[in-house]
Amino acid sequence: MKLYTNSGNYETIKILISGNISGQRLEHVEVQNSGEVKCQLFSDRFPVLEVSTSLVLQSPNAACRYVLAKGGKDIDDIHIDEWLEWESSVLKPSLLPYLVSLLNKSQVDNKLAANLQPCLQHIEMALKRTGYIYGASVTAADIVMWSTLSPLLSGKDTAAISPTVLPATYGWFKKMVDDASFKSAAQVVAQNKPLSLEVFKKSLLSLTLPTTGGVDSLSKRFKAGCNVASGQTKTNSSADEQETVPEKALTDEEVSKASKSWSQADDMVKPLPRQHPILPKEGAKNMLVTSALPYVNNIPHLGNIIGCVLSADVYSRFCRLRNYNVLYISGTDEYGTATETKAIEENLTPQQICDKYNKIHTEIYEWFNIDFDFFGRTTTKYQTEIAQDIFWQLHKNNFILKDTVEQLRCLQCERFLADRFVEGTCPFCAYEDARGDQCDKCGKLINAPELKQPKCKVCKNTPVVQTSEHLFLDLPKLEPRLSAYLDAEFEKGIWTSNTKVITKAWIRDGLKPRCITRDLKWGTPVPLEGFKEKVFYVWYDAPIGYMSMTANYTEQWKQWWNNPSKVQMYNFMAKDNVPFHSVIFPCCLLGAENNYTVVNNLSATEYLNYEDGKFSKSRGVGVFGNNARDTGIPADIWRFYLLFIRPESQDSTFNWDDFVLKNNSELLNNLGNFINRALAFLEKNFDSVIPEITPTQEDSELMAYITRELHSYIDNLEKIKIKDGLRNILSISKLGNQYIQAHKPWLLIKGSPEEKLRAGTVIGIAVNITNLISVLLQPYMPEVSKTIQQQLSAPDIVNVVVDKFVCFLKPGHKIGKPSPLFQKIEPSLASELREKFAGQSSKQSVSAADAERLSSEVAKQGDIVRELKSKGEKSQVDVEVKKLLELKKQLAAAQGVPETGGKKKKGGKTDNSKGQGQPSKKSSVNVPKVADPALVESLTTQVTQQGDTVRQLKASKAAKPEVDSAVAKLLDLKRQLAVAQGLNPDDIGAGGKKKKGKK
Amino acid sequence: MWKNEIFQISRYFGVSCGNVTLDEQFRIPCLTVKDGNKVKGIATIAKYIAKNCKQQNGILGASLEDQANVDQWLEFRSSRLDRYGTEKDLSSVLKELNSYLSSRTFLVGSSVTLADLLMFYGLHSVYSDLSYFDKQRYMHLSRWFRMMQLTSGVKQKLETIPFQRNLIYPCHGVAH
Repeated sequence: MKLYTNSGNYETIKILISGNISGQRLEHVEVQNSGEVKCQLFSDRFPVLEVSTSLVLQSPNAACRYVLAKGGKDIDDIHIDEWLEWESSVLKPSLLPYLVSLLNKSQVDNKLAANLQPCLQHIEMALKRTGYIYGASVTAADIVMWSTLSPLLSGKDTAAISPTVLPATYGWFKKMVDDASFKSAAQVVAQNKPLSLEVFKKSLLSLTLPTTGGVDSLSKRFKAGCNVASGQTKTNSSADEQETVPEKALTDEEVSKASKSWSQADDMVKPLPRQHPILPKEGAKNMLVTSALPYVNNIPHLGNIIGCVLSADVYSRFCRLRNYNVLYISGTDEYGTATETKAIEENLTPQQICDKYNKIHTEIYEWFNIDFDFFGRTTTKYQTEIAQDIFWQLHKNNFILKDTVEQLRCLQCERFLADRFVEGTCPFCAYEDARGDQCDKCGKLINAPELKQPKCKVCKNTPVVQTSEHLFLDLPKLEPRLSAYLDAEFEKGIWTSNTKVITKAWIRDGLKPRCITRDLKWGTPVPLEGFKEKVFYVWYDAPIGYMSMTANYTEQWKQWWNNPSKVQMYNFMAKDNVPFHSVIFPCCLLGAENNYTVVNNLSATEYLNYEDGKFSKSRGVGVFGNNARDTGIPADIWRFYLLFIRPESQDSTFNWDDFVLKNNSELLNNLGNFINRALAFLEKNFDSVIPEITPTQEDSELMAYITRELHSYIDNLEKIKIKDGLRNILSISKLGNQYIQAHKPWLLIKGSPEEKLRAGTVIGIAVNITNLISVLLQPYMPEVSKTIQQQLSAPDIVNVVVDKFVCFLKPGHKIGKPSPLFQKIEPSLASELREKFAGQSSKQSVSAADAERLSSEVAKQGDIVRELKSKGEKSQVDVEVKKLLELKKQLAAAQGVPETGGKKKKGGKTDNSKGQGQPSKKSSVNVPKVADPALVESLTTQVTQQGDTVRQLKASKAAKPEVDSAVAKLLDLKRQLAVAQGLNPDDIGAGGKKKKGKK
Repeated sequence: MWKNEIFQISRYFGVSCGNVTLDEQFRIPCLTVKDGNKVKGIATIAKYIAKNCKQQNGILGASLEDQANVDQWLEFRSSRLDRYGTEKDLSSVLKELNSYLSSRTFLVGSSVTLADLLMFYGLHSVYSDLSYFDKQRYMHLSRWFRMMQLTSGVKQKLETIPFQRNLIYPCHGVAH
């Protein structure tokens, strides 16, 4: 066995002693640094005992016992285990810091020495009994203890650790030195020098001790999260009433300041009224706040909401409470392909689609209490005007380039086809159902013009390849001024770290010219000659939407948008929108050279996941739009939870159990409990009128703690740290709860006149804390805030956030009617709702047996139909066909075939909002497992062979009837294959007449 | 605190649990057994319970080597995991465990030992507070943790810790 060690290490002694006693040979290898020890498990921990290639021991105690046991010299007694555990988890954490401080200061640190005393006494008492640590002879316990204590006991005596105080210990120490096994081991480690603290200096000083180890760290950790095995569900910040010791002690200054501020309610600033139109004011902090425009066609889900509108809403509300001059603008982004397509589907015009969906968005945000100053749309004349203006400015300044692009155009539909509307044969693997951007089978990315036998998805005609000229924004030319601008703004403004990372990556990778036009009809028209049939690409014109919406709000929009020196702009979004807001849009504005206001601050969230997965409209997974309202849980509760888990520095997950837990613990038990208690007590015992308040020193301390949280709240929200601000509110509420709990006004009120007065003070302060909470809560839960203020009969002037905690509700003020603010949500509701929103995947599929039976029935019926068709009896055929279709529907339902696959990109899902799991005509990539694999295989081979035959015939220009019959055979085989696979044979096509499939 | 854990360990081994108190002086758990003797220290108590249960199935390590290894990890649990000071200390503990488990299924040998059991209980409250990012970062430790969570008799009434099924962070964000 090899024993690697650094020099002068006391731990090595114990292993060497064991080796000596048990007669095991140990090859002692001294190394300078741990890098030389290849086999080690943990770095920088010596000694390392390499027992074999498969066992390395870096616990000296375990190594020591092993070596003893190997030679049959270990004693299997639980008390020895006890001593060894005590040495490593209690003694060492006390002893080592003490030794290190001795070596560093060569002076006794009294606190550390005091910590060490109980341990030394413990050893002393054990040794007094028998002269050995345990039992009547040398055991592993002696070996381990002796080695560990050797730096201490061989050192200089100090008053605390002298032979007079520890006679038995010293006696035992000396006795062991004379034992040959001990002596020789010590000599090896001390390199034959006499034992002293110096010998161990180097190895002791090289140790990395845990920062607050030992007994202290243990109690802190167990106090903090002690639900080990208690069966409790996760609590992020528990609502317990145990005291939480605050971080730093209060200074006298803080306390006196707080107590002075308390009586300064009359000096407080008044809230500024909000008057539309809101315009920048001289000398004020003018803030233009935007949240990324939601695409009109998509019903927003919780992730969209927290990423954009809700975050911006909290921030704007906060800024208004600070009396800043805020304008909060957003709206729906309405141009683009997806809207055009949806319009065709629903048989409406694009404008009608947008009207319909814009209304849905507006209603949803209204329900969520989002307080926009203006919520607009991109489809207005101002949009066209401004987008074209900026274009001309860029054009004049030579930032627009022209270039040609190859695209597929469907002559029948008279339009250029976006990738999603083309399908054909994959040029790589010959799969016949490849989509215009990617092949489903081999997964390779394709350019639509590369597809073989491409077909327009809508009318099935073959499109042609046409070149089209397009306009490009010369980003590379604009890069220098963008970088210069951002360098300055990154320093001055608030930018979440992901925005900087993403932006820098884009710039570092090299900006390329970006195409800003498209061959579509629904969009902002391009005004340049030769391009007038085209529209601007949606990502060029969408951010301009912020400007046009402002223009629709007020004619004086240029005071906001042409005023960079007086206006600060704040953009809110989820991180996937960052490059458009930090690179492309700023480039447009800077390139226009028209003194536009450009982004100064950007807050981008990470992603919100849903219950361990992603939101998916098509599969019905997650909470969308009106789903939230339909649950009956009030909007403010949703706001609270979403903000509590706002994905700021990393992704977070919406979890139903956690949602319910937070409601019940934070809102109900913490916040609601405190407020209701305070108000109800006032109503009952003081007839709802605030009594005399005479704060004591203790009360002033409470005010100081609350002031600290208040300062932290302001600091956090100024920096857009929205989650942290919420936690400040909950802390204040917790302080309130503790305050009431500590003073027990319900007992005081029954006591002497002084005690009754004291109860009055306590409640008076508690009610004012409630008032403070209601104001701080307003950005997060506006309805609840209003309700609290109604229950308080609080005047409107309380609604300002200043860094002072004042007594707004003075003695004599009468409050309104208290009533519980929150309801408990039963955990069973959580399970129910999770089930409801879990989508397709949660449905248990009908048994495989059923599916198999249906499968074979479909095949049989298919045969019947084919036979009849060849005989030509139409009425009979129709009947049988009907039967076949019915069977197929059943089969599809049984297999739980999901809805149309299609692109998984975020924009433009074309599915219905309601209803989960309609069996689709065209199956997505997964083939049902119940298909008969042998049949499928044989048919597939036949299809391939027949396909080859057909191609051959076509290539050799064979006679038409021959070709036709071969094609017919091929189609038939394909149908059989489809049936065998459980697919709808009508969808398998390689040309030929077909009815337009209903989506 | 340790009381619940010791109770669980007893249940795991199918024995009844003695009286658990806290030794105030050194802040370690103390188990009082039938004949009035006291056993102190979480690792020692666990070993005691394991030794005294009827079946001896290698839970303490089948060979001398395995037993030494189990001892090593029990010590890791009681001295390093239970006594970390700062978050930084905790991170280095998790990192070391993660690195050790990168090529192993169990802490010792090829089956569950007392080392796995105690490490699991010791880590449960830590994992309870861990973000998904960190759970992915300590990939091997998380894999081991999930395995333990699913092993019969281990989790009992403890909360089930959720794990992401898919990698949600790009690999260059994962510490190696």
